[in-house]
Amino acid sequence: MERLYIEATKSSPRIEFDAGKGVLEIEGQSYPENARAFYKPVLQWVQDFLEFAEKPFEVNVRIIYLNTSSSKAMMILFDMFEDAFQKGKKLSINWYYDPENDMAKECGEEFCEDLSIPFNIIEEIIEDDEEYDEES
Amino acid sequence: MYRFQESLSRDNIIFCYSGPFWQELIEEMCDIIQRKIEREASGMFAQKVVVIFIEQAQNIMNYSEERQIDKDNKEFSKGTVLLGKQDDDFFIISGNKIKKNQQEKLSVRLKRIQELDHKGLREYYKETLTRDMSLISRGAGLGLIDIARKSGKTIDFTFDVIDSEYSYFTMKVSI
Repeated sequence: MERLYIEATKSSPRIEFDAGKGVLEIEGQSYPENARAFYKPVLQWVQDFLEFAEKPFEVNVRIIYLNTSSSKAMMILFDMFEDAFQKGKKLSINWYYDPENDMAKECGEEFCEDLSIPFNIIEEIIEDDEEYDEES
Repeated sequence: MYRFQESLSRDNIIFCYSGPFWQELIEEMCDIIQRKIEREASGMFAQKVVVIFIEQAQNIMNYSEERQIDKDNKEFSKGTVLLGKQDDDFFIISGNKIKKNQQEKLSVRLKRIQELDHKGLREYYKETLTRDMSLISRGAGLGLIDIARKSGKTIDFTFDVIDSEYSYFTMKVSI
């Protein structure tokens, strides 16, 4: 399996999956027009990886905002992880939030409640790249 | 135009848009709204307003029964959105045409939402999330609950009859 890379847009997150390292990164805003279409390849990729790979798997989420359809997609994704975890796969999820973003923190806490996978909610100052774009 | 401007000023309207909605337009409006609110409130509060705006605007984009075709024959949903201030609260009013047969379902859902407290909304959200897990639909059911949770204040709504087939749905969210 190669790498999955989906570039960030104003309303959708950067998705980067390195099968070699077993790391999935999800970063940015998530309010795409069609969350189902957006997350479908990610879900497929993860499903394939979980089925065939032996490596431990780490998920790093740095989401600023998830609209409700993205939340659903994320729930489905986490459910896949939970399933694999219950079957013995080594998994962990790191949920990063900016200290000024209460909504992101609460969002992570809610997902955490329903999962038994190691789920770490970590405060981290997230740089807003858009600010730099405007100045240049 | 003077009377219109005066009317907007009197009602403390900060932002107003009526017309076709599409994703990139919503993205741009988010930026405008964020910057405008940040002049009066914290970044975190501005983010909350934007987030509620996104749900309302995307509901118009996904569910409005009123359509417009552009020069390239592309179809867009139409609606109206207003952002304003009333006393110490901000409010977002969204309006769009719906099919009459959708009115009952929407009304029942919103009435239930109106009656729930913070804890009740959280449970309702989880219940709706779990039930729909087999498909990622556009999520309007969840969207309305999420709006209520994030606003923490009142949600008012009305339906105006347009004709035998259509109604106009207006929703006001206080923040």
